[in-house]
Amino acid sequence: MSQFRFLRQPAIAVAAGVLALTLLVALFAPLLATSEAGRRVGPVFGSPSSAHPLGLDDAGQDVLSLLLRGARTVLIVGAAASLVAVLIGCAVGVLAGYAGGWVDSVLMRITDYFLVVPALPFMIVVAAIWGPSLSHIILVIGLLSWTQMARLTRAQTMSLRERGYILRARGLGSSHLRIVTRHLLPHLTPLVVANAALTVATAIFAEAALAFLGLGDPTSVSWGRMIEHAFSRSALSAGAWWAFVPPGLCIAAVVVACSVIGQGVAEIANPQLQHDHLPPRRVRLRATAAGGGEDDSGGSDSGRRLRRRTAATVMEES
Amino acid sequence: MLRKMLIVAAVATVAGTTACGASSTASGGQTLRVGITDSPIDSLNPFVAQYVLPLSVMRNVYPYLVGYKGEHVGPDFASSWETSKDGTTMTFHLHPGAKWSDGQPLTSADAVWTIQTTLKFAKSSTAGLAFLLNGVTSASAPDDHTLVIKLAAPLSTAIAQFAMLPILPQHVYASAAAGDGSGLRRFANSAPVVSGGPFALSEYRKDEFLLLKRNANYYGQRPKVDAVGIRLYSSGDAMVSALRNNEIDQAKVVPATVVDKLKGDGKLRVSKVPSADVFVLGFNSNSAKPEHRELLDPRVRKAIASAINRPQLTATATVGTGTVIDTLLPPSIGGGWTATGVKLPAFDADGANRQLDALGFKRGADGVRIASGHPMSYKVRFVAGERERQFESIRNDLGRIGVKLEAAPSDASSFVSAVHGPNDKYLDTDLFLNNWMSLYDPTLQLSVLSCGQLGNLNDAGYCNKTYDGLLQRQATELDPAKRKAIVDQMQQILNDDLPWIPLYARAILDAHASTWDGFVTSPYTTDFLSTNAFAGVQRSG
Repeated sequence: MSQFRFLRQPAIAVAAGVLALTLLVALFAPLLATSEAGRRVGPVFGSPSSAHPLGLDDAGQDVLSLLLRGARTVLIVGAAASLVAVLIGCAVGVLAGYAGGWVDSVLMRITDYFLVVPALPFMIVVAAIWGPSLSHIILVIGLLSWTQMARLTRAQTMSLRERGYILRARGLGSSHLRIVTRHLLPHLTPLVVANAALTVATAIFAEAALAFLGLGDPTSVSWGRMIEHAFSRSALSAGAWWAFVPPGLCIAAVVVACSVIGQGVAEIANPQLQHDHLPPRRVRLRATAAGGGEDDSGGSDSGRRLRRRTAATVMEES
Repeated sequence: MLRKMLIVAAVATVAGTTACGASSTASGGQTLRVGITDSPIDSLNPFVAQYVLPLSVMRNVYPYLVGYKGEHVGPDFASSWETSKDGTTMTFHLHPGAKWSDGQPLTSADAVWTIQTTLKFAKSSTAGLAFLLNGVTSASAPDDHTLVIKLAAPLSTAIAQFAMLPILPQHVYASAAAGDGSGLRRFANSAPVVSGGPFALSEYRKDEFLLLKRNANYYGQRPKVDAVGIRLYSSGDAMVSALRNNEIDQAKVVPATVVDKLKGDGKLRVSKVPSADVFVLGFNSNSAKPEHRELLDPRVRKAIASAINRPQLTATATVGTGTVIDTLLPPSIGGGWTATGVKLPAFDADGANRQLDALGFKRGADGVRIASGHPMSYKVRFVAGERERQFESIRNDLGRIGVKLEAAPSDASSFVSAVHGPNDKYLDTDLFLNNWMSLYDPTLQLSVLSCGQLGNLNDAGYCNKTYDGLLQRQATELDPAKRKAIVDQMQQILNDDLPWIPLYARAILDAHASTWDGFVTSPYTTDFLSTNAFAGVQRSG
């Protein structure tokens, strides 16, 4: 189970737990939710009680049931929008990075344009024109979130295509398609997975923002829409904190979980990322460790790992 | 043309505005600081403005011949008036010696100029006011304080129409009316505005605030406050917290959900009056509509009406502050216009099921009934936002009788064209949710469903010649009792044909600091039919 090694880091383990729980809730929401969708069970903004532990919302519906049902929408939007972004981003990035030349220039200029589009205002305009529906929201978010992915995969592809094994494969007469699918993509996977997890977080956040602005799918329950409904009926002034705090916490939890996992995967796939965060004092370690003498007093985790790596490199080369 | 004014569309404004304190600009004395939410200002040009708030500002800035006292018309700039025996000549006796706020004389010549100019460009730039002069042929001024208005025929609604017609300062507007009069629509009327009413508009910042200062030259009773600042809020929460923090003295139209909280606050007073705003579920009633023609059958409409739990819908939408209504004329407009004998069927889902069974609409495998080969599944058009909750409630109710509803939300600006369909043909729509605000005089509300308003105000595509005939007759019937009988009959026709299922009328909920009193309520979000709202307001302690 060495590929799940990263779960040993407590933050990542917790994040994975949160996501797993959300996934389970999303799958079994219809069984878990106590009250039927859209059913009025009590007064507007009824207080939490034993029957309704999280109280009632502005239409007298059970907040807990809505929260459970909302998990499904949130995960669907997050996953689907991220998939759209991954597909477009990878296609553009790999094509640009592998082909180079004018193809690269054209694709990257297009990417630049998408990169500078202010995402939220653009999403609002598009969602308003297309009309509010789940598939439109997924498309809009996906279409505006692929640029990062394209940039990263392009850079990685450019680096990979000059590696010996790729040059050898090309020399042996492998087709471009074969090189890309057999040699390039497998090496891109960790990068793509890490970035996809971050895109899921962005997508969930964007969905909540659109829903809050009244551009969510009116036929589905989502956490963003729960907050929007609470806001539009002045839950804050009415003192009905239970109508907006639980969905807000849920959004925060899932978004943070996705970010933590994304960054964790990225660090494991690309340990160089850890170097970026090293303060100058630790960078000095490289010289001392490479010098092979003096012990250091820092003894930090990354410092030790760095030294081990350096030593290993030295051993390999010698 | 009155559509926007009548549809009080509660559109949550996306852009948040951070207005500066309305009090900061007041110079000493008593300044009433008023907050209001979701009440846009489309224009301060009286020929263009259609929303309720700008109309209320006009009401306090310009002189009007007559004004409402409660639901009855009383004197304003005209201290008295009489109608000739044949009912076609009306003579108004105006306050002599009145002045505009800039010192120019305010006389019958201004009234004549306003009426003649509005009539002259009625088909173009002055259309926004011209409907108030329906049936008027000309105006003249025998002397400075007498106005004579000629009517084409006796008109029972004449006084109600004049109660909404502002008298404009000729010396300010005359240049804009030159040539083809198109300058009148473009006239910005930016603050400070030359005023003849109790207040002068001295400052206006779009989407932020308005400052009304007392007009020293006003011909009538001086208001007790020196100034009124109206601050526009984009959310109810922001307004309520401003009221609690003493940043404003009065909050107009507070959200129904917070009323109980505010009532518990000893430093605040909450008033509640039924609104003239009527929420309806409408059916496309165009007999030429190609699909879902079973919805044209009044028996199906009756079944749907009885399947909707209107009391519960009202309780949820208005948090118990609204009233269930049965006709398009709400009791809040007074005058006895509401036909008490006209009732919608009571909530009875079983009865509705039996009715649909009897009509032969069998349930399909998914529980949805089948009507002439297609499922009874319909789209409901509505303005996205607050109406979603109404829709959900109705969808759940109708789900129990095997009628499936799908949401077709649109934004406020495209809603009307979506309901009317391409070229105003009324072919696509099945059902829609809308709201209409009735004036004290019922004519305008009744005319919404007339054939003459097809493509304009008429949202149901409903056209009934008998109804239209009665609409004409009630407008010319001078005997109040007879007119009332005709209006009752019209409400009965609508109850039989059911182009609209009236749902409920909400309440106007205002809150103010207990250190102020003298507020006068009205069934409108802001009173645009009288100057009573601020006239008697004063600091009490």
